[in-house]
Amino acid sequence: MKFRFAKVLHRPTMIAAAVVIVIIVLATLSASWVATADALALSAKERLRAPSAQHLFGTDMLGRDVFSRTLHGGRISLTIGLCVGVIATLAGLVIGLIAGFVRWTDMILMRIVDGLQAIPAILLAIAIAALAGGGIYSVILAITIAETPLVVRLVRSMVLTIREEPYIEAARSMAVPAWDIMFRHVIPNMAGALIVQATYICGVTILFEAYLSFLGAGISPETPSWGNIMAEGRNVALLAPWVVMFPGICVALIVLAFNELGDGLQDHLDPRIRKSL
Amino acid sequence: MIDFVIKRLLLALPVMAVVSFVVFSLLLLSPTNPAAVIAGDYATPQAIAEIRAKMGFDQPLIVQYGKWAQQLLHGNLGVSVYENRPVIDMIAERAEPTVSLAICVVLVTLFAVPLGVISSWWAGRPIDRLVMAFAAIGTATPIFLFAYLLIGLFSTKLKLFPTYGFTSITAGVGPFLSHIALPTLTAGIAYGALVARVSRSSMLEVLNQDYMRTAKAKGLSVHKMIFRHALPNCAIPIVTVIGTRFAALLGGIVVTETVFAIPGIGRLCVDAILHGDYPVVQGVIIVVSLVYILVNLAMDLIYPLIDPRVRAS
Repeated sequence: MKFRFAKVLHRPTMIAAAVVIVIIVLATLSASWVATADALALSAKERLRAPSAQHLFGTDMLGRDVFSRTLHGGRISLTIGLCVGVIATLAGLVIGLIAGFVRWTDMILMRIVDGLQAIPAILLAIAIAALAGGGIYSVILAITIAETPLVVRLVRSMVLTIREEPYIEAARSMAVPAWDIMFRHVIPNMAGALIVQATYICGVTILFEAYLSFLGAGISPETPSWGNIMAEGRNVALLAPWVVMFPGICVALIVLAFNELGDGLQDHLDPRIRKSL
Repeated sequence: MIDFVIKRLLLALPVMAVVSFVVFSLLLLSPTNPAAVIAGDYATPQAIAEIRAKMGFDQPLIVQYGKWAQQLLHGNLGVSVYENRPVIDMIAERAEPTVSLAICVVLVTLFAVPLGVISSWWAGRPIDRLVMAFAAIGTATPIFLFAYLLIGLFSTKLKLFPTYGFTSITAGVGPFLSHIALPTLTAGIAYGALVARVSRSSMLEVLNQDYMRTAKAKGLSVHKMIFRHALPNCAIPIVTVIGTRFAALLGGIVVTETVFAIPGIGRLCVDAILHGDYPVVQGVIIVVSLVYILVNLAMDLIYPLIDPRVRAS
């Protein structure tokens, strides 16, 4: 797994994606300083104001500044994206390794994965998030359960390929313990593909959070996230489209950036498994 | 062929068993007591206890699951807590809008295949970049954003289509199409973007094969090259993605039904989840997963028809 910076320069869209992610992450991290107003402050006389110099993204139906709410909401959405990206990848890695190495578990684990994949991810996530009581942890749990099967399948397929390689056979014939083979040979060979997968999951999760909140099963409205800012703007979407549009554009931009970064990383880190989707 | 179908159906059984177990386990996550929900806001603890015993909620989980699965095998999806009606009837009532929307989306998505083909033929050219930009934006943008853009343009400004609702095809093709047009476009954008990407990448792979170079050297027309040699060889990945991402399409339909106030199965499920109507949630997820499994079985049966090599193997 070698990362050559010179090669990255040949893919300007990847640099653009990285720049977009950095800008959005920095903007949300510095929300307390950059925000032009209190994200939670209500103002009856400022209701549904169109974008202006005073309110860059306009105001919502409670007179709250959409720009400030979008900056603060980004923290929650990005945190959820990052957490699910890391947890789903690690959980998928562990389960996929077990399925790939311990043959008798393969049949059982893969049928569970098949079953989870047969349920539409959005329905499964909404059901888990709503039944688990809402809140950031429920949303993270819900999306992680929906996303992990994909990683399990990827890891298992890579393990099945790697374990037949001559160097693994050589290690086995030298009586290298299974865990040593796993940590020294198998996992490093999958690292590139896993980083790429984690990148895609981050993007998909941010989109999912938006859907969950939009359908009423996400983060509670008191805590702004991109999803619930849009959910709150639903009833006035045609009257004051800016309430939905600006956070929606942020979601689209960051997901697009994560997808492009994933594509770029795939080409650089693991050219053998080029992304076909 | 019959052996193959039986084998695939048998393989689907453990998957359905897992789905049923997952769906049943969802109840465990709930902080609310189903018996309390059924008993209502003003029920006494004694009444709740009675309902708990009557419904079997006081029995061990494995016993509860066994009884529930047995009912399921007899086609009984239970009774709605809120409406006190059989879940299967509620799903049947809401099936038409969802099925209509799903069929329309799949039909519209087929237009994404030529888009992918055009894109691959002129790979690297402006038309390719345009199609790929559409695909990238289509997969990254929340679909309700497209919905509001389409409503704003075609309903509010141009007044071409109604803003929300659904009309059955039995009420006339015109009203049906006018109501289903915008939801179809909304749910079809993300799915179509994916199909366009897959069509492009599998077509590019085929176009780089030796036999395509030979066909070109022989002076074969572009039409024959694409339709006789390239498309049949890249059909399997396209059909596969249409099948395997069918669950994603159903997910997209849930959001679309909410935006356009379509009384479909997706909306039924979301409302049931938010109200804690567990039998409906369980029933819908079971039915939808079964449809997904059957769609994938149908895709497997299509493979030999589009690629004789699969039949031979």
